[in-house]
Amino acid sequence: MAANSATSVVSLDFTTIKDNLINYLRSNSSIKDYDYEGSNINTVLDVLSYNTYLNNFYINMLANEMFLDTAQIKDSIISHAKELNYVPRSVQSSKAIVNVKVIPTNSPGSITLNKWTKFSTSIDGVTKTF
Amino acid sequence: MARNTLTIHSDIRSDLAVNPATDDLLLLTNENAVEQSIKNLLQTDFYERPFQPTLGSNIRSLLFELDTPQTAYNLKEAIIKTIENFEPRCQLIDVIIESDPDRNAYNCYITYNIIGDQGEFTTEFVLSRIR
Repeated sequence: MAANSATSVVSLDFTTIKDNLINYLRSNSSIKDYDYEGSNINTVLDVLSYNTYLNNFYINMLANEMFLDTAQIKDSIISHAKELNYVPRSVQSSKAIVNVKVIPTNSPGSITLNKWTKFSTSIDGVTKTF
Repeated sequence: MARNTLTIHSDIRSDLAVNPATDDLLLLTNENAVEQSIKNLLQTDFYERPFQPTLGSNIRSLLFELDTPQTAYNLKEAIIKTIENFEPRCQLIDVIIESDPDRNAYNCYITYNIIGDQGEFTTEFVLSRIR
């Protein structure tokens, strides 16, 4: 077995992965054009490196999201927190209970209040819309 | 002078053809490997290869230009620049671009030496847009 035939498995970036594959071919292959960017074998190495890079990224993100200390996505953090019997709070929209009094000028058969109708009020000089 | 028959350059074929007897991949060697490499480079557009946005040439976009001497000149310059930048095995001698307006195409003749090999090689191909 050639001395430098073992490929490194700790690389995460595209360029290093591709360099590792090229180093492997350098000591193990009868194909010699891996260094030239126009060659077919270099194109194959590009595909392999890109695929490895994507897998690395995916597994890295997956491993991070599996633990509360390293998770980045809010849903993941909430999920981990729930296992500890804690439900995190976050910003909530304001609520208001509104009594609507309608005084019609004629005698309509029914009165419809449209969905998403806005109500405005002023509390301590601040206008709020519900 | 006798030709150098050593295998200096070797590459797999684009169609990944195999030897029917041994099932080994068939290889392109020496000038055939270099010629294939030149064709690959010229058919690769910028931003086509992952993480190598400058690899290739913009020949494809030039094929949508009007058929004028300026376009032929730009095509020639693009070919020269691509080979000089990405194919260090080649020593360019000449690039000839002939317009073929009846077929909506350009005929290209690239003449070069291969460093480490003897002789002069000419690669011919037709450039035409496909859509």
